Amino acid sequence: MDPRTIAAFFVTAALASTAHSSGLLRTGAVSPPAISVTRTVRPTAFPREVIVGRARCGDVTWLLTAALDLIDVATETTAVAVRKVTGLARDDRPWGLACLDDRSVWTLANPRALVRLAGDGQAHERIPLILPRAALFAAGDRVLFQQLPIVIGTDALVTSPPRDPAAARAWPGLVQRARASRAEEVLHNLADCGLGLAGSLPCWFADELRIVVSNGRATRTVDASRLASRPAIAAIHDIALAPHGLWLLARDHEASGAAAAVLLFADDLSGAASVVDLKPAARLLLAASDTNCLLLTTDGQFAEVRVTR
Amino acid sequence: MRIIAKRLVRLAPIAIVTVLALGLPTSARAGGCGDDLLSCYGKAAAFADTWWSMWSWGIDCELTFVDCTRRVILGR
Repeated sequence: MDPRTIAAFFVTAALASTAHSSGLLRTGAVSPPAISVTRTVRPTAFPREVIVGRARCGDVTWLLTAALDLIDVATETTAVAVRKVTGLARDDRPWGLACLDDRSVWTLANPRALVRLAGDGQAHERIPLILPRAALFAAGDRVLFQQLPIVIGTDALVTSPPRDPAAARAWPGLVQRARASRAEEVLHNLADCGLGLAGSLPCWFADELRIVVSNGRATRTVDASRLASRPAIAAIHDIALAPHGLWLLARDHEASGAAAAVLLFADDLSGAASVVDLKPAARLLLAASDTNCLLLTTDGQFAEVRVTR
Repeated sequence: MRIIAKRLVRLAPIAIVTVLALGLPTSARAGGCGDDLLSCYGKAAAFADTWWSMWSWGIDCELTFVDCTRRVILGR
């Protein structure tokens, strides 16, 4: 062999080795961290009725069901306590749950009444609302809601202090869209929000794969369809923000509306998304961090999903 | 002229209900929410005696529709 060829080989190999060890030579995309279900816990007698509200208060996640069960889940220990909501009017059909900075818990007893619930489930305060409201979430010391009737071209979400409904302030991010008929406009502007972090909240329209993360002033948009190359993702089911990422529960084309069969973790550090198929499917996210999340599954279990880097 | 105007006023709610029926997406109809909405609008058109009361009744129809659809679509 030509000595010059041998010399060139060793020089190239030495340069490649240096470049690789210094991180300069990277071929292909960065591998996403792996995620997998590492633990399941079955709580005793967890209500199976449709969950109509969820709120996070420190280490506790509150859930409200259509059958008026108020559930608190201590997500560190997975301890559960269930009590009935009492003191509502006969025609009330509560929707939404918000836990504010002062740890007060609120629900919309009906579109025209905001009610504060005590820890024992008793309705303690009833604030009448002149303009009806749909969704209910928390934004610091204010409640975040969707004002009805829908006005096209305006922000879908608005905040106000719970006891001062008139002091409303737009929450930028989702702008309500026109459709051919009034009923379609109602249907296509249904807004939903996930678990927030440090004043930021992820929200989306139920018929879109676009997530808007807003803190009430600045917004950023995440396209869920681009997080992973999964054509099976049909709809956003739930979202939780983590300090350096985002957990997304998604429905595939075969799943029913009340459950999500796919979980994604979009990792800011690697810029890549990890995916895991869920069996059984998940109802919602209870808590999330950069290293794990806690899910409620359709068979009434808690499933912990861990990130392995 | 007044008779024609009166007939138009009477026909308008029926026209609105027809437009809503045509414009309603299949998913909403499937959940039964759309049928309830159309029935509610129909009652508002038939029994409300003024435009104001029909509008107010219509808002209540929409609130019921929102509650029904969100339980189907957003309920977990």
